[in-house]
Amino acid sequence: MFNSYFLFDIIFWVYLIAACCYIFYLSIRKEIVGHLAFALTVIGWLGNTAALAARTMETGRAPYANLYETMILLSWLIVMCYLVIEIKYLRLRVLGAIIVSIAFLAIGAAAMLPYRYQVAEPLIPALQSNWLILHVITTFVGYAGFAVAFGLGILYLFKERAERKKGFSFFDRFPSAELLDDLGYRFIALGFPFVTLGIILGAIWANYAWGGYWSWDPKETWSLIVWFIYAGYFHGRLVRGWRGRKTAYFSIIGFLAVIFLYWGVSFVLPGLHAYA
Amino acid sequence: MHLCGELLQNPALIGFLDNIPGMVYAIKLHRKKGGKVTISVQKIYNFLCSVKLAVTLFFLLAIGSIAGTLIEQGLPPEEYIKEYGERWYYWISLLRLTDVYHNWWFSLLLALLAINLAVCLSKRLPYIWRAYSAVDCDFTHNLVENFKHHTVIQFQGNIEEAKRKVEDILKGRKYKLWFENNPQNISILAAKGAIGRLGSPISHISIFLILIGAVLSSAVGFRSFYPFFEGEPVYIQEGNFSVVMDKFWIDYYENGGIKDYFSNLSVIDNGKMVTTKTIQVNDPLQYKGVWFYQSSYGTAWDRLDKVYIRITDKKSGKVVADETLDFRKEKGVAGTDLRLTASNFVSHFAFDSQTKQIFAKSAEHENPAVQLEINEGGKLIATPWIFYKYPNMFPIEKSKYNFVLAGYTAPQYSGLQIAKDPGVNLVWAGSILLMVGLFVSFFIFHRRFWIKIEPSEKNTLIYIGGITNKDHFGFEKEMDGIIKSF
Ligand code: HEM
Repeated sequence: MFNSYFLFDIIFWVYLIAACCYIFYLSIRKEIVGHLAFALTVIGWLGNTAALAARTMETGRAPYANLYETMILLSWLIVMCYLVIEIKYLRLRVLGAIIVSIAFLAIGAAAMLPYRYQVAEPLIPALQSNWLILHVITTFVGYAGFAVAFGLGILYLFKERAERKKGFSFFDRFPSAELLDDLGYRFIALGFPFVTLGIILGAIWANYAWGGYWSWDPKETWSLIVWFIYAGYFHGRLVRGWRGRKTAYFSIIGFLAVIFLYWGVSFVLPGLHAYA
Repeated sequence: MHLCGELLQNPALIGFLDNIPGMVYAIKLHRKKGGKVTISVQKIYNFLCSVKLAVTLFFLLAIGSIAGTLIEQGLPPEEYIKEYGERWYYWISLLRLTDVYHNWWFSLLLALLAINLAVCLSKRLPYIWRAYSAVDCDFTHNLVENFKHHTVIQFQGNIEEAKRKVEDILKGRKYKLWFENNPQNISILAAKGAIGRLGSPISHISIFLILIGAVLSSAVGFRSFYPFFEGEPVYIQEGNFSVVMDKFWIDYYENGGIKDYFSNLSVIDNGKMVTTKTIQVNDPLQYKGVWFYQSSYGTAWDRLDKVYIRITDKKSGKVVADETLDFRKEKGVAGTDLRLTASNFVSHFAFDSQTKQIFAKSAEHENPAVQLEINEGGKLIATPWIFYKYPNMFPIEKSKYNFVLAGYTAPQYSGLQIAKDPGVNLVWAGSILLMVGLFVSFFIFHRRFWIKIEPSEKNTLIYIGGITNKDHFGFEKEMDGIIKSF
């Protein structure tokens, strides 16, 4: 009954309804809707936690070994990021509209995967390593940070336009563009060290499994590309003083590269990582 | 304190100045000293330490890397011509896109990045150090009021009480304080998280270590693949010792999937067995800096293990013997005057009529054939090829017998990756430093407050102004909290 697929279906709907509530909340401005949206998000996140736990019990190993499982992990981390902002900076509840939507999109994408990608296969020998668990967790904390920054970047572009136009707009309830810009930076600054750690752990693991820490396979190379993009972002921002739209575009492009690294490389390009 | 003043009004400039005061000042100094330095040297220097160059290099490296993942690397030219056509292949080979990550321009970009890093870092280090260690209590309340974040608090109590209150509040928030008691007033500098300033140089230095390690890896490291056969020692030249694989086996899951595979290795150095270990995927053996990684396994079809031959008498058609031969080992057949050797094997028989050579057309077992040396009555009478799929196709005229290839087996090998990489430790050292640097830099913020306590007619005025090198949002909250505590 409480197997991971069942829980997965539940969180799919809970996140969907929560995201809708948040968007509804933006237009009708009734606090009760906001509370409902928040409560649903918490329930969804608990269900998400349970889905990960159920998967662990079903497979007897950490649930991060294929695309489907990592998507559940990713949505779990994204919503956790949101809950942290929400609890730390209470007034930012409206951000749920964008962040929970992104978490829902992650779940939705996982639901679209063909069944053979969803079943839990036993681990092939190269994947049986504790380095793998660390590698996946840190990498996905990084992706989650970038995903949130991506949402904030898109929001920034709309909000900034609304601010320039003045007058009433749908985006009035969002925090100021300046704050969105700063928050976006904070999430990239969260994602970057974790993605870097993920790359390093991946290198350690590759060295243990294959006897070489770097072999320029497409997944490794794309992780480096993503890394260069965000390094460019930091240097532009910290040293050249880039702000606002320029950095918003960077966080969007950076995350598109992450999506390619995550899905594109597995399906489009051949290489060692073809299994996850 | 040269950073203060009106420049600090602009948050973008705070970010800018806070991070590279060094550059701006050094360039100005350079210009002042003008005469001695020629313009072109100065220009090159400015170019080499600019962050614009760094961002450009990131961009170019990313573009190059993308090209390397879109075009498959290291194929023979025919493959590219088939895929892209002659015209495109011209450009692909001209730009060395068949081996992006090791070609001259990619290496050049990496080298430029290293130089950029070194020049920029050497210039910035003194300024970073100054920002890290600067303590300056000589300021007026005008300066305090110039900060973007500043306020004045009316404090009920005398100067000393105000000072104690400030001390309480800021010490409670883990700030380090410096005081200067002037005749009229008290100056206080409060700072925390200065260590956060060192994160950036640490992470930049670490990139250097990683680059050096990578160069060492590719310059003096070696990495190669060896098939190991049970009981056959392999001499490892790079370490002047031998390794024997004593046993190879595979574990399966219940559903038949492969769970793991293992090789039992013994190291023989100077004729003595020094160590043994069972390695598996993700668990290598290391001896004298040489690592042995279990990387694959397979069947070595280029050599056989056993060959099964059915021998029949030509006249009677009766089976004389079903003989099992060890590959390339002569064996007498009991009850006959035959001695047989299976001397060669090809998986896909082919004959080159010009050179008169037998060769394998492919690795597939399309037409397997074994060459047999037949020694009958004490002399070698024939060396025919016999075919698994076409028995009795070419009877051997000189022999009393017919020979049929009934089957064959090949030995299993354990595929080991052998590597010695003196660069790898530098890479790991750099990686650890990189992580330390990044976490320090991104999660520890340098927050400073300049506080001036001055008496006024009725009570005491406390001027508070502060800056942070990062996290302006969190800083505002901290500042609000501090003000509320009064
Ligand atoms: C692959 C190479 C590089 C990496 C991974 C890297 C990484 C970083 C990171 C993460 C930051 C932000 C640090 C912070 O927030 O305190 C930063 C800042 C900075 N980087 Fe780099 N960097 C690289 C190359 C360079 C180069 C070549 C230059 C020289 C122009 C440079 C100049 C700077 C400067 C001036 C800052 C300002 C921040 C500070 O020092 O506090 N970086 N770098």
